[in-house]
Amino acid sequence: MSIKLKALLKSPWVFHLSTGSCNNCDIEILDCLTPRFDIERFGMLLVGSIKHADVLLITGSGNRKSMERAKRLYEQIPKPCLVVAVGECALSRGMFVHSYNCPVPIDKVIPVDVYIPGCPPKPEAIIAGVVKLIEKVRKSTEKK
Amino acid sequence: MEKTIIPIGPYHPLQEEPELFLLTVEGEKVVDIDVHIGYNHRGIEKLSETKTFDQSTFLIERICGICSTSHPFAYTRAVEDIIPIEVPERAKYIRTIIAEGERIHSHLLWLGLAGHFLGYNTVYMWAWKLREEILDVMEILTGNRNNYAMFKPGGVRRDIKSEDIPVVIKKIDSIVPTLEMLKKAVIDDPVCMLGRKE
Amino acid sequence: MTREEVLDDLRRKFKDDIIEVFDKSPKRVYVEIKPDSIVQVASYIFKDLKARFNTASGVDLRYHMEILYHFLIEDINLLISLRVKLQKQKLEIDSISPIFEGSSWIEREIHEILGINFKGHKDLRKLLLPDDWPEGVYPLRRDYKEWDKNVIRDRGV
Repeated sequence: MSIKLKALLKSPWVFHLSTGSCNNCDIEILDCLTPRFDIERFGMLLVGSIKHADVLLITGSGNRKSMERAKRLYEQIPKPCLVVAVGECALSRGMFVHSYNCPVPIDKVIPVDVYIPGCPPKPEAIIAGVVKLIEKVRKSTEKK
Repeated sequence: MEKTIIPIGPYHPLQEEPELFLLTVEGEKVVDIDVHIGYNHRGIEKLSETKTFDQSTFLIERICGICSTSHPFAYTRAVEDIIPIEVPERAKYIRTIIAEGERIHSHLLWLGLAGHFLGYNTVYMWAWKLREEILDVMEILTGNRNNYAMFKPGGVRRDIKSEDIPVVIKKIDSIVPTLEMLKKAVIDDPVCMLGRKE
Repeated sequence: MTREEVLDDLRRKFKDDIIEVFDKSPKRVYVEIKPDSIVQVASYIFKDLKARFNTASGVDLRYHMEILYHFLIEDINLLISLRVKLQKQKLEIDSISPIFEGSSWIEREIHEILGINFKGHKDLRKLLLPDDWPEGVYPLRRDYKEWDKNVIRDRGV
């Protein structure tokens, strides 16, 4: 299990999921692939199917209709996988706390590894968060 | 001919927002379509009943991330019509500058995405690289790349400094030759237009 | 036709349906009519005056509910709003979707969020709320109470 996790970090493939957001965080994630903050040099790609993915990026405050489908998608991703929550709305629903269509925050439904705050977070912040995640996983596999 | 139903499901590689389209297809022609929405509904109207007129401007900015200036602009114009109240001259100029800056970055965004959906990734990368210059200009003027928070019923919230203006003008003038090249690459390109005109 | 000609035309044709005309500014006019005659007035404004239907908005006030229909005449830059008042015991009105198709989705949304019944509408399904939302609970009314037992409303700080 630890060899698989170590090999996963060399070139992780990313799947992006939006559970009811205003699209600002999604555009900043697409902005990371453009020539100024190039993350394709680390081998990260955006894929279309959930069965090819290693890392799951979640944005948006948890909508009632979207959370059923998100739970089904989390059961289909091949384990071991890493989950990253991007933006204020994914951390604790942001300013939509008292809304009638957002009952619970996302980490009561899906277990999350890394939180990246900001509204929207700048692409430098997203890259810094992903680098911290890779170092944390690398340290925990080396101790074993 | 029998009919089949093809679902283009909520989460799709081309879409960024979840929507469900059910296409009814006979052979290769699309006959009927059924649209299911509601995956993005957050209840903003109900939330703004509990906030004051100034506080709900921040809620309204988060309706959409790309057109983040048009919605508060319409809202503050409506509130100033009800009261009624006169807006000073300098505030009108500042509002126009910010709205025009947002229009430029929004047009470059859809140009890049149109190229991306057709498979023409060169236009996508060039358009979004130019877009970064405009976002730098907005960061010098207001402090953030996307949600500016400059509108308030009765005027604007912050002022712009006069020593920033020559820097801004120089940056905007430097993207004009690259835009001309991009226009020639898209419209006058024979390979791109060959299969698309029919 | 100029603005005054349009208003005089409306006042002449629908003399007993119009209750009040409120002139707010050179660009906006509010016309209040009885609930039974909405189909006639709307089809006259849409077909003969060649106006465009913008949207409809529903409001929950203290003792009654209102629906406003907004039409825009582009040549003279005039926005006409038709106001209809409904009592809370009997929330029903004729639907205007047989006249033009563009109003069927906004009537579905007003029905599921405020609870007003539109008679003659083809297809009153839910548009925005999920399928397991309970019947008879309308979110945008003033006396809406939280019905779900498993919600978390504090941030945990």
